[in-house]
Amino acid sequence: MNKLNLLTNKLLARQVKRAFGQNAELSDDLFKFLEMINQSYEHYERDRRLIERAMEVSSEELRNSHENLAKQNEELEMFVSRVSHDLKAPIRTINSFGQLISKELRKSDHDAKIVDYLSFITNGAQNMQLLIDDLLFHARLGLKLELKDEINLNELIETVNNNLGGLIKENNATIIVEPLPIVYGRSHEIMQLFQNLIGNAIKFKKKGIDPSVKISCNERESEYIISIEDNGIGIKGKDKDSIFRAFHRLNGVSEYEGTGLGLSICKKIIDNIRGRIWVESEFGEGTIFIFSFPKDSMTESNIKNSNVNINNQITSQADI
Amino acid sequence: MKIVQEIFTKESGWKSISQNASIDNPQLVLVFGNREIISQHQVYNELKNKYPTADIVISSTAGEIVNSGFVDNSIVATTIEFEHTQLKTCKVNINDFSNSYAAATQIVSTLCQKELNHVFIVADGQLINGSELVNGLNQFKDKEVLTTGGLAGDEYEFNKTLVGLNNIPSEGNIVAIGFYGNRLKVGFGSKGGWDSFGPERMITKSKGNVLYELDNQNALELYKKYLGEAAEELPSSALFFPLSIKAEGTEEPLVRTILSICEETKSMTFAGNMPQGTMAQLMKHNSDRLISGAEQAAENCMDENNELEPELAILISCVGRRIVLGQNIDEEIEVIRDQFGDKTIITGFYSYGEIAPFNNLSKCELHNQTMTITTLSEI
Repeated sequence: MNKLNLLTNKLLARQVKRAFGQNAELSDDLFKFLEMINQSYEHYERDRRLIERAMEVSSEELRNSHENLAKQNEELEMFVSRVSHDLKAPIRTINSFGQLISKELRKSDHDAKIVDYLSFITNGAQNMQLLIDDLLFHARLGLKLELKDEINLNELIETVNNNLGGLIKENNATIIVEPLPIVYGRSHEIMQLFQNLIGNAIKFKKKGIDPSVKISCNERESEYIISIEDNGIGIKGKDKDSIFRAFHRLNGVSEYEGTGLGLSICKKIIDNIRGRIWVESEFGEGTIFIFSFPKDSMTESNIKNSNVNINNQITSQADI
Repeated sequence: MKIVQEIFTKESGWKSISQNASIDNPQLVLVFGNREIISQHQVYNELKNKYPTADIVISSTAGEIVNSGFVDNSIVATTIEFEHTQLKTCKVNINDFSNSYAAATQIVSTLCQKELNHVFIVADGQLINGSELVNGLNQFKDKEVLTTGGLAGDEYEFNKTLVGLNNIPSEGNIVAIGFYGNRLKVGFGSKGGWDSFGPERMITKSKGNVLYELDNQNALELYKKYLGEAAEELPSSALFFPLSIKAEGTEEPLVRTILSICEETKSMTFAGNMPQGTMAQLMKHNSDRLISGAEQAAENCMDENNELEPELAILISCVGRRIVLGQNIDEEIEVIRDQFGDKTIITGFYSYGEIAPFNNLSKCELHNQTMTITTLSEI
């Protein structure tokens, strides 16, 4: 009987036949050695089969859980839309009819108190509207996979400043914008980020001092660091970690307006682009919000390529 | 320290494997062997007659480790004479205690005396709850005494394991050796070399070391899906995929090996507790990583100067490693031999659980799938 047929591993059997010939007469020692190698081959083959199967099952599991997650997100998105529609409609009704009644009342000579009361109702309804908008924005962030846009931050800031025109004018604020880079992200989110932070910088001003906001960028090897610096009321040390939590307010609603969601939205937007956001502040000495845009493979060093000349600062004055 | 080694096989009886085999006043004989052979009266009596004054510590194994490498179906006896170290041994049986923690507490109170330097443990690998035992043994840690050791094995049978002290070994025993005096230098190292893969799952249903559900799905069914055809060889084939578990607040994950399965209750019994709420992840191996794990375990035994060549190294390696390394099993012993050099005497066994801390500062843990080494030298 041909000893070579005893080698169970087909690959090894073929290799040995090629090397020694089909009917080679192998010495006992050599054959013993070949049997050892045969066992090793079989051993590795067994391991390979087991691991290969495990990897297949595991990636199928991951695929399934990914599909489940996508489905859950879709359901959540639908739920959020429903809730938003159903909540917003009655508020709109309250708001509109409240305004109509105020108008009618003003025509006749009615008790001024009633007009005041009505304005509380309509203001409340308007705040609720804002809150729902913020909640929706917060809930939808990162729910769907969306494509990233190329965003020229210099252009984006111009739009933001236009949107905030009323607030800037009202407060006689100065916005200084240094040259900013082109980054990748979802532009409506990044717009919201800047709008919230610049809005805060103006809102939390010191009494009797016109707000001044400076936006600047520092380029590092793997990220852009953007700072938004103001001359406002500042933040106490103990509050610095908690300000990014939803519904966390440092100041009374009566003193400063807001939904309590603004910074938490900012944090979520930055988390979504895998950046970092933090705050540096001395109480009473102004605040700097700092966040990073990680550079990805598409990003090149582009501060200098942007449309803004480094010596030509854009200054948005109160006369926008 | 003087050490001699002998090996017993059914075919050739006792044979010395030490070159200058002479020992005058031995205090300790470490006996690791196949369950059937070590339970024979004659074998024990031969040892007792030869070393009447020494404490004889016996454990059944899933394979023995001796100077030259791996042996099976044998007994390896390592007889030691310490020059500057005193010993105290004790044995407790789980049947005399409400649980393994209480049994360990008894050991702690028996051995805790002035100058206690180190404790080495061998315990039944089937009836003792290793996690509870180790929790109990950590009472030594409060007194800055470290514990190392392992759980007895039973080839690939997972049937019953035997441990004994100065008697024929039997079930349910825990034997502890206390080493006293500061001239004994003890080193230890414990490493696995396994890699986690696939999704992390939460242990949603378990009791002690019996696991029922992961992520609300039956764990046994999950294993069968992963094993495919190899599911027919359960429980031993499950050793290819141990679980890594990490409880909140713990520093490092622990590896848990499957000891047995029960088709009736659709459950899997592991060699350590599987607490509910803990995250678990499957693990896979490749031989190279396992072997370099063993090498690292040996490196970790060295003192700060890397100078000490230990006189004795006790290797306790998991039965799971033996199964997956197959005929390459000698490799993991050889890399350790290369680390220590020729003068170190090596003994040990393949176990159902290894006991050692992660490092000098941490608590003692029950490990699976690791190579766990304890080295002893007198200065």
